[in-house]
Amino acid sequence: MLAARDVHAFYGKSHILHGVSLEVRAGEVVGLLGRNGVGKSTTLKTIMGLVRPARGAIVFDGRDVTGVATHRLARLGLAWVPEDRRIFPSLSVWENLRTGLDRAGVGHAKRADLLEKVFRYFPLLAERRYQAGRTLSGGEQQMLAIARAMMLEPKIILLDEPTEGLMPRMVGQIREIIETLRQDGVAILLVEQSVPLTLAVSARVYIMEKGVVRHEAPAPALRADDAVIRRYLGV
Amino acid sequence: MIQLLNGLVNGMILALVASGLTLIFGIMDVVNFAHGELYMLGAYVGTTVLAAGGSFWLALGVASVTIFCLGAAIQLVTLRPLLGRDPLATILATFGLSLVLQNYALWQYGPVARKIQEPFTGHFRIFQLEYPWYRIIIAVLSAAIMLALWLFLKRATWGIWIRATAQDRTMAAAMGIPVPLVHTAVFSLGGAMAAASGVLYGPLVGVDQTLGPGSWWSGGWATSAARCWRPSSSACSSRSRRSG
Ligand SMILES: Nc1ncnc2c1ncn2[C@@H]1O[C@H](COP(=O)(O)OP(=O)(O)OP(=O)(O)O)[C@@H](O)[C@H]1O
Ligand SMILES: [Mg+2]
Repeated sequence: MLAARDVHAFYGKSHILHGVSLEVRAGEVVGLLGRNGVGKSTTLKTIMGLVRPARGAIVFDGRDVTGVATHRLARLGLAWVPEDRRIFPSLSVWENLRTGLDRAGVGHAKRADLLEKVFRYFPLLAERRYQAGRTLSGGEQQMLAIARAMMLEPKIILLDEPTEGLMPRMVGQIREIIETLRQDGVAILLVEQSVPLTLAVSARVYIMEKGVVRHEAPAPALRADDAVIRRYLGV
Repeated sequence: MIQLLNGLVNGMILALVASGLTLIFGIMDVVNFAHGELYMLGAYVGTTVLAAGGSFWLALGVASVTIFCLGAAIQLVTLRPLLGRDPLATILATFGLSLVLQNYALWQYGPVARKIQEPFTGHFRIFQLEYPWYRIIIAVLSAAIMLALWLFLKRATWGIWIRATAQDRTMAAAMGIPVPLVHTAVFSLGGAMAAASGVLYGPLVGVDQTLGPGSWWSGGWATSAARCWRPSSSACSSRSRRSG
């Protein structure tokens, strides 16, 4: 459903991605691991059209979407939850959700449906509906970032380090959400620092090193044999 | 007392012009030096409608809509290609634009000032003095337009899109908000507000091609304010270094 083919990307003159290739099938959760600074976030940004690939292609739903504007990609069914969450600070929780909800083709019934669903997953957000985004705690902001992405009814969510800086109880909740989304048929490309979490929720895992994908394996294989993990991630 | 009333009326008009200007600056990071010219052209369009026999209110509506469309065209041609460039580029572009529009007004309408007839000529008595109703109407209408703008930004889908774009352009795009279109709409909306104030204020000051440049200083103010809101920019830091 989503594929990156030999993608090269630059920030100014520095060559960050040196030919990244990966694939996510419909409804599949795929992990993307790698040390700090190897280009995981850049890979997600390039898929989302925020960084223009110098070479290579992004294919989504059988269509070459390389160079398509970000807002069009969002309409096609790609959602991005960035590592710094990027909640709109002076919009309320409710208005943050509306940025994804107010679009053509969402009638009253579907609107109510989508809201009921996120408020069931995240009851806290219902309580904080009218609070400004900037006043939420880190964990609440993460929940809102995921809830906001869900408003787009995406086919795939590019989820960048969702558990970063969260306490263990919250991490468990994020894990449940990822599993619920998968049951709903939403594919996820998950970038994470937590190897156990990634191996627990993913079907397959890619490991990146210095701007390229070095290794690909089914998650169960990595769970059984952590030599690869130790080699690439040093843990 | 009269001074106070006059101050209130002038202040309202200025606030209306400035809210268009800040809307554009806040969302697009564009200091619109041509804002005064849009205000002036709005007033001229108003005189044209009146000359053709239209009513004052028709003139107000037509001027706003015309400048809204002109604003969209200007934004598409001159500013959209500069999106994401150095702010200096957009300043030069709008500055050039202001000169073009000013000379166009001179060529099209000539150097002789025109008059917009106020829709109400009545007066009322206050503290033994006659005060024109029309001035009160201006203040109330300006306040109403700004209130409508506020409600629009607060409640409407487009309002939320505009605010989201102002706060985080990248994330707004990732949420499917058509950011380039939002920029065009904001520029047009700001222009339409300038045009409306031009027509409203026209009966008090008369309309000639210096009407725009007269309020030009407000653009200058916005620029210096803009410099100081961005501590990283050289203009402000060099100034503070000199003073420090
Ligand atoms: N906006 C930018 N401008 C210039 N260089 C950047 C920019 N963003 C990232 N980089 C550089 O690109 C490289 C890859 O960054 P990226 O954020 O993709 O890494 P990452 O794998 O997500 O790391 P982390 O695990 O720390 O989030 C890094 O060396 C980083 O310094
Ligand atoms: Mg990262």
